[in-house]
Order: sequence, then structure tokens, then C-alpha cells
Amino acid sequence: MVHRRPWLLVVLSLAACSEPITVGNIGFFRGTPLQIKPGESAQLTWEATNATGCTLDPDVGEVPAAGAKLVSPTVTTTYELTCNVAKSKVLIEVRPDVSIASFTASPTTVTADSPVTLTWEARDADSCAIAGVGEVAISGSHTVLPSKTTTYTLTCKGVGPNAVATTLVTVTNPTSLDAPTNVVVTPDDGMLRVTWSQEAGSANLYFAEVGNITAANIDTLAGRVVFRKVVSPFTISGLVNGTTYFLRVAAVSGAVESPLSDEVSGRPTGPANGTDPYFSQQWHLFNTAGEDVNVSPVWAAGVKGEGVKVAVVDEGVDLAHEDLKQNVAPQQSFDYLGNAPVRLAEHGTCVAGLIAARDLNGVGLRGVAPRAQLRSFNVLQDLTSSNEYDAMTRQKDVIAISNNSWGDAWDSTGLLAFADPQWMRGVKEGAQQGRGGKGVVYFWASGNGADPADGPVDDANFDSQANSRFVIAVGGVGRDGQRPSYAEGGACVLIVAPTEGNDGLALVTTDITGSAGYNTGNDSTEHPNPNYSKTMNGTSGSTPVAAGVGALVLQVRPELSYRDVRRVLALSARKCDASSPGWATNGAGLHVNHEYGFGVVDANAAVALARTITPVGPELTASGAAQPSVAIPDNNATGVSSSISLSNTGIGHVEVVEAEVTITHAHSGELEVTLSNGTTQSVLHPRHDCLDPDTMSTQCADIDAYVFTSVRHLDEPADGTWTLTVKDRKTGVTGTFNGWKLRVFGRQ
Amino acid sequence: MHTLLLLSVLAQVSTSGSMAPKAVAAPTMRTWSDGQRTFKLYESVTLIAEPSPTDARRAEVLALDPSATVFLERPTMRIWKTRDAVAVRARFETFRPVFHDLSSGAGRLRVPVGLVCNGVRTAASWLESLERSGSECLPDFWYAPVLR
Repeated sequence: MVHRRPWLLVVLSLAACSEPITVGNIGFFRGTPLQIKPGESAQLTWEATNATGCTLDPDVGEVPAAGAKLVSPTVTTTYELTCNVAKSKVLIEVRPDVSIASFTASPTTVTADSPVTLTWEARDADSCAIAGVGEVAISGSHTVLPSKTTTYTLTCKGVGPNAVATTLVTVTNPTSLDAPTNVVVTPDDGMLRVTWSQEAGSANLYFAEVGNITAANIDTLAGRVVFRKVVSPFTISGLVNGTTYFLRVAAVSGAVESPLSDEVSGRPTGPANGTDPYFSQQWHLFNTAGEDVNVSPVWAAGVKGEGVKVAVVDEGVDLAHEDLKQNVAPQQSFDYLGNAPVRLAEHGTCVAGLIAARDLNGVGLRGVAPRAQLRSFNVLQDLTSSNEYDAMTRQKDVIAISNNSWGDAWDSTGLLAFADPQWMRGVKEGAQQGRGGKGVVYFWASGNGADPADGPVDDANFDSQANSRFVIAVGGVGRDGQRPSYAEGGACVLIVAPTEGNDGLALVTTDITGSAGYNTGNDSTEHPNPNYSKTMNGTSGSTPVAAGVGALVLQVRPELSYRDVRRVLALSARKCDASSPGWATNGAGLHVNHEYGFGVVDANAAVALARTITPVGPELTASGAAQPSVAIPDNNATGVSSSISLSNTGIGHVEVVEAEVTITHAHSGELEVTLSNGTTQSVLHPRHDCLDPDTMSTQCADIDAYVFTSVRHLDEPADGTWTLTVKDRKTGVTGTFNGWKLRVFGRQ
Repeated sequence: MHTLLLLSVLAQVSTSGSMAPKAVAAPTMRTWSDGQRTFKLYESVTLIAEPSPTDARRAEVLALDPSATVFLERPTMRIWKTRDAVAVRARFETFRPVFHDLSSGAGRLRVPVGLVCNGVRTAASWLESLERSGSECLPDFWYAPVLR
């Protein structure tokens, strides 16, 4: 059925006049209005100088040198005024009101969730949309799966009132369904094409990397994905060639689901590693015997970071690299040296490849989010306070993920490093105002100073950048599930991601094209293709892996805030190194470890959780302060404590806690500082070696209002007694616990 | 591991020099403020910063102190290790002192290159950038980046 809405009581304001087009001695030649409907008129006016007469074509003929003429073209017409040799033109556009010629459904009666094809044809429309579907072409067709009797409404806009048409689809509900039959899997390069037959409804496709799938056990199987309400033929892409996948299909209509079909399997085939020749070397993406980020099922579901903008804040990126160029926006990147040639950009090029090297393009390998959009901000080429602020806030309205595999304070010093005030201003602004108030999600490398061969030991909490509540601090885990000896832990570390472990196996990723990168082409231990390197390591390597997962999360739920992403990654992280004594269960039942945060980032679990999680809503804060001013007993396992009680905060779920601590102590490396709410303990400042390797004298002196951050209390309530304990674990120098402030951030 | 400081180019030079050896003094302590807290800085007695480094200036430094080596070089800054940083700075007015967060010379390396007042970067001498720091103005430091 097609019908028209009555005329709106709105007079469309068309362009009042055109800009004069003057040639030679024609002063002006105008049309008013420039757009009319059939049967309406427009007035042409003109004035020429130094001419006795003019000609107006078509259909008018000779006219005076100055005058006006009413014209009523039936079709869009260009009028040309000729005065002597001068010519001028005016286009009068004739546009009928928008209309819809047809809008039909086929079939018009179906069982619930069965495919129905909507077909329409509009005329003289600028745009069309179907309610519940979204914007559609001016003419075309679209398949819908109505779950109940539905009237579909097509609205097209153009000249005149909107044209509206509706079509009714009547839905019935079956009482039972037979299992689909003739399920056929056809392997292709990195994908499986699946076809089947069914009597009614659509289908739920149960897919996993192991067999014996049932509706009851699907949630326990490796690589599982349930593709719901799909129709035959269906393609599962982003798969790993050579791996066998299993699937079963159930017909679904309304509340009725049929038994599962017989199980079938398929093994994608094609050139080695799909069309990405080095993909199989990327153990951090797909590893049958150890840690990986479990991303294959996410790709299979078509989630690859499409549309998510990621800033690589680093030394620079080889933007023309064969495996990056499809995903980079050179005009959106920023060169702090001013269009300088690519140099010293191997680190950033490695980082960029781990995030978003392009998949299935016939070269190289893959990033975790192989369709994300990369930008390079090469601030490390000129790392100043003002540039740090700029890099944290540049394009903050559109940047979703900011990867930072760097710091401005040196690792392995054992020192508490205050962040630059401009940097702090930048991350706060980006997190609170970026992305329309949802915040840029900053991923920050925890640092590599945990266990240096010589020199002091670092903790991520000692670095005010990784320790900021506005960033996600990422530690490292090796292929064996163990923390690499260098990777810094900390109460601020949220998650870990794969990187070179204690077995020395690093990450394979992109490198500067040719011999200018880490891989010069002359090292037999390096990758045989000098455009790639297999030496990327450190928390510089783990951080972009985690950032890529962040991009996948924001593709499926772009409305999530930086606080939501932090929570999604923590709640979905996977426990590793189960025998580590550092594992604890916090008051919300979450496993957490000083060395691993909440565990290894898991792309499949994170994306699944992101699809359903309730956003955190407004941020609530609570705070308190205490000034114990007590002497710290020397070499004493009990130490001194100070408590702050919080009540009626309204914070039912803590997100992050800050403790601003002031201690006078000439050898503060001897101190252990912990924060406890009676349920969960955070080691904010482990006792550590803090000797200058040259002089063997201590470097760590007073702790002067340093802010330590902990994420370990995630989802615990804020109300209660929070206790800061300071222990001096070495005989000799003594000091005073002067005071501390507590700030708790969270939601209801 | 692609960590620690980038591109440490050590130029070993053995030509005779024009700067007489002298005893190196203890580092001079300076302070700057973020408006809430006062931070101490210790001027390196051996490191000196050359903004916008050039080949010509490299030769001039080596002529003045043949024992000088390039401690660190980035596109916008070259850090020299010399026998006497103050003496080299006295010779080249564009050079700026290098500061550490600790008197031992350990920790973060900073070079004051300007001022940021109410979010706007302005030119300033290195001394002015420290002395004018406070609630409205902050030093614009250049840092040696650390890759992790």
C-alpha cells in the first residue's frame, strides 16, 4: 500500500536567488527561485551594459538589455542570456515532489524469524529509510527477519512533504521445527561457506574449534561463537587456514528452536596462512600450545576493528608500509618534525603492525584489529611537555584508542617519577572530554624495569604515567603463561598481554620497509623479509596487542566509555600462571595478581562481554585524609598504620583508588607501603633495591605527596575502613609516616 | 629488547683540545613548581644540550672540548657529554643545561626549552622557565624518550 502524507504546513524556503554569473558586459543574470515544481514559474532578471538588446534561450528569444521574464519550464532547464558576445547562464531545476512508486514484502505471511524481502522504488528522493532498518538506497531490496507481525514503514525525503509507504508482514508461530538438513561446508581461503535447508524460520549456527557441539556445552568450547538468526548461505571469515572448525545448525522461529543438525566440519584452505604469509608465525594471535589473545573467534564473527580510530603515539610509523598502508590515514597523522622523512620509526612501525596490520591482503601478517584505522603521532621525535599534552589530546574527538609504548622517565631506577603536569592535563582532558565525553582509551606500557640484570628494581606504580587513573596499564606475559622477568607489575596494572617471555620468543610484526628498521636484512636470526621483524618485545609489544583488543571492543560497543573499556578488559581477562602465589580474590570475587593484574587480555571474552555489559554511568568520587605523623619502626614487620573510614559514599562498585602518600625517609626504598580495605590488599610500594649502580648509595629519598593508584579493588564497595600500612624492612635509617589522602572513584 | 634510550651515538675523538682540564664541581640544584609542589632539579656537570643540532656546531664543540662525546642525539636535541658542561654552555649561548631529578645523575633527564603559560607555549630562557614556574606557568621540558 502506498499513500501520501498531507501537505505539511511548512513553506519550503528555496534559494532566493543565484550568484550572478557575469561574462563580458552582462551585469547580472539571476533566477528566482532556482528550484520549482512542475507547473510553477521562476523569474529571470538581467541587466547588460553597452548592449542594445539580448537573446534569451531557450523558448524566449530577443529581449531588452535589462528586464525580467517569467518562465515555466516543465523539465530542468539551463537558460542562456547572450548580449553581443557576452553570455551568462542560469539553471532552473524542476523537481517534482518525492514519491514512492512501490513498497512490497515477499512473502507477506511467514513463520517468525523467517526471511522476508522488502522491495521498493522511490522517485525524486534524496534519501530513504525504513524504520527499524535504517537508511536505505532510493530503490532496492532488503531482507528482514520479523519476529512478530510487523508493519514496515518506508520514508523518503526530497522536495515537498516526505513520502511514506507501509507494507504489512503477518507472522505466525510454529509449535515445532525440524532440524535443518543438507548442511554443507565449503572451505575457502580463511573462511568457510555454509549452506543448509530448513522448512521455516532462520537459524542459529553453533561454531567451535572442537567437535561434539551441543546447545548445552557450547559456552565451554574453545573458539565458540553462536551466530544467531542467520540464513543460508552464510560465510564465516577471519579463520585460520589449516585449522579444523566444527559447526551445527538449528532452525529457530520465535521461541522454538529445532534440534541441532548433524555436526559438520571444515578446514579453511588457501595459500599458507590465508593470504597473510607470516600469520602462522604470530603465536600471540593463534597458539595451540600456550598463551594467545584468543582473537580468531572474534574475527570469525566479522569484528576486526572496522571504523575504530587508533593513535600510535610513538617515534613514527612507516605509513607506506605494504601491510599498513590500507589501514593508515596519512593526512590524519601528525609529524612533530614537520613532514620529515621516516626515520627512527622502527619502534612505532612494529607497534602499528601489532595493532592493525591489514589482514587477507596478500602480504605480511595481521594485527589484532586488522581493519582499525591507524594514525601516527610521532611525538617521541620531539618529546616536550607541550608536545606531550598535544599528543594526548590531538583529534581527541575521534580517537578511540591511544597506544603508548613509551615513557619519559627511565626504567630500572627504583625512583618515584612524577608525570609532567602537561601530560597529566592532556590525559585528563582526553579521558573526560574526548570522543564526545566517552573518553580516549589510553593504553600504557607498564615498563621493563622489574628485574634488571643490575641496578634498581621498578614497579609500574613508580611511574606516574602507567600509574595514572586515566590510563590502562598493560604488563606482559610470555607464551608460557609466565611474567617475563623484565615486565613490571603493580597495583595499577590492569591486564597483561603476550610479548617476549623468558623463553626469548618475541613477537613478529611489521618493520620499516627495507633495511632501515630493526631488521636490516643482514641478520640471519631476523625475519627473512626485511619489511618485518621478529624481535618486538617488552611491554612495548604487549601494550599494542591489548590496544588492538580495545579497538575490537569499541567496534561492537562504540558508546562505551574509557571506564567501561577498563572494566570490560578486567572482567574478561583470563587467569594465567595458576601456581603464582600472587593470585588473590578481591571482594567482588575477581581474581587479581600484582604481576598480572586481572590476567591475560582475551579478545573473544572481552568482545562477548562488551556486547552485553551495562555502561558504568556517571563517575562518583569519595575521599578522606589522615595525618598520623608517626615514627616508622626500623626493620619491623608490623610497621605503622593509618585508617580512613568512608561511609555513605554511594559507591557500590569501585573502579580505581588513589592514595597520595607523604613519608619522610632518606632511604625510602626500604619501605613497603600497602593499602587495604579489609578485603583486598594493594602493594603500592614494594620494598626494593634503590641503589645508584655507580656509587652504590641510595637514590630513593622522601615520598612527597606521591599518588599511588590501585585497580585491584574493582567492583568492591567503597564504604568501609581503608588502612595504609608502612613498614621499614631494613635496619638503619628511620623515618616518619606524615600523612596520606584517599580518593576512591567508581559507580553506584 | 627495544628499550632504554634511543640512538646513543658515541663519537670518540682523539684530537688535541683547547679546553683545559678542570675539576668538576658538584651539581647545582635548581627548583621549579607546578603551583602545588616544588621539585628539585640537579644540573648535570658533564651533560649539555644542543637544541636543533647541526654538523657545524658539532665541529665547534669538538674543537672546544676534543674529549666531548655525543651522549644522545634526537632530531631536535643533541646531548653532549663533556668535561665541563658549564664551560661549554658559556661558549654557546643557545645551549641549555641538562637536569636530572636526582643529584646522583640518575633518573629522568630534562632540558628546559620554554614555558607553557595557561596552556600556551612561549619562548623563555632556561632559567626563566624554571623561575617563572608556578600556578600559571610551567616549564616546557624536553625529555629523552624511553621505549618500552
